[in-house]
Amino acid sequence: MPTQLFLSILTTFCGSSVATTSAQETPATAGERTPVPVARFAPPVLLLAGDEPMGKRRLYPSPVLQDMNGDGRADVVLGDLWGRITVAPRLAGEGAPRFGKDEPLLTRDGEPIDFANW
Amino acid sequence: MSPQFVDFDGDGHLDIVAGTFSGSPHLALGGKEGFAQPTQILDGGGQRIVLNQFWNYETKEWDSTQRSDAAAGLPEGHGTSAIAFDWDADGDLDLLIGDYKSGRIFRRVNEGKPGAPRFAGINLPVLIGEEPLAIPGRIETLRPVDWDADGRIDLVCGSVEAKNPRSVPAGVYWVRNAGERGAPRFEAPRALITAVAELRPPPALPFGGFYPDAFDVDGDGDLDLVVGAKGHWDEPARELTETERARKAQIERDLEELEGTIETSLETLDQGLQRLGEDSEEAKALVETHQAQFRPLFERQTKLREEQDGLTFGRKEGYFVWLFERQ
Repeated sequence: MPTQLFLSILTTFCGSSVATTSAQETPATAGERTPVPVARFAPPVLLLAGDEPMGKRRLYPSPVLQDMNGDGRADVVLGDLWGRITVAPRLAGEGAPRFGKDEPLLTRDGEPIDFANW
Repeated sequence: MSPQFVDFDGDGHLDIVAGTFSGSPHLALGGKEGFAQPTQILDGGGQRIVLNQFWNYETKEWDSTQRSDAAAGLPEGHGTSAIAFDWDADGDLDLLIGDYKSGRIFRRVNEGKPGAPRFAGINLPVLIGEEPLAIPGRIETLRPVDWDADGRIDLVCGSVEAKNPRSVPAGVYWVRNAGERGAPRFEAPRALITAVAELRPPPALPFGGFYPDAFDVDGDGDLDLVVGAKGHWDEPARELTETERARKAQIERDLEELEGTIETSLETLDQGLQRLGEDSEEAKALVETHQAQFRPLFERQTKLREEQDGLTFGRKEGYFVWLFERQ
């Protein structure tokens, strides 16, 4: 689906509730005179790893951004329920962020790193 | 299980810190050649770091302890998330532990020195004033990040809905640090993202189990959120062709038969393990044999369920990762 159409559909169905939640200012905390504004966000965009939705076939995907290959671009490192970790490399190029297919993060012995979470 | 990249041992290489469902934080040390497999982070007395509930690897059962409680009579906690964070600005990394049973966060002071951690044996609750800080829901992820760029490290937390009452929604919350360096003073949590409860046409929107990270993804100078979560959507119905209806019915029959086979095999395995004793060499061999038999069954089950998913409509859910670009 073309990106602009995709984003416009998200805006139509999602923009109001996400923006409203994020845009409300909170009451001033004790000792402060000025309310602290909470952030506003654009409508959420599903990320892909290669051609697949990132997190698909994973349970409780937990992303962290870290440059794993030293190319100056933060990749998405994804943990999951089982404790396995994969890396989806950030691809070069302007515009919306794109990520490559995610691959297991290996130990120095060449085995998939395993936190044995579950 | 939320990984955090941090130089835990001060050797110049990034390590990975993560809480686990066992109830204890783990560490995968990084070096020139890469990462080692994770091991438990222990306290200064050589004991596991836990809140209360933990998986006992020896008895292979859930267990509980109050040995690390700061006071008597506290509600039981289960620490499944952890980050390393220099709370007191003394140059070494303390631990913050999130409670999966509630929205509370606890601190383990590092009484050692940079590169030689020695964690205290007591969990100190993170407070707002005199009361424990409580994120709405139950904590799944903690991130130390200066969200409002005021030079103080705040917390961005992801949660899953509370068990009781279930009306407390999941979300991503910002806990602002209004204190001084070495003496954080946290404010009440502010919602950044909350669950999208209502069902909408595709694509999926997040409604549960939020795992955020804060990062400037678009390079515009402010922090965005990348969030893993469970999402749901309302797949519009369409008329199935006759071929599709027949195929859907066949898949349902195949799945019923396959799942019966899997269940029988699991029962056989369980009986065998009870007879042999779970830790015996024969039992380990039996498990390996069954794993080899199960693998193609589970692969076929996955394929059938994926095909079935394409022929069903209405409410659907799955796990995804979203980018929330800050405006």
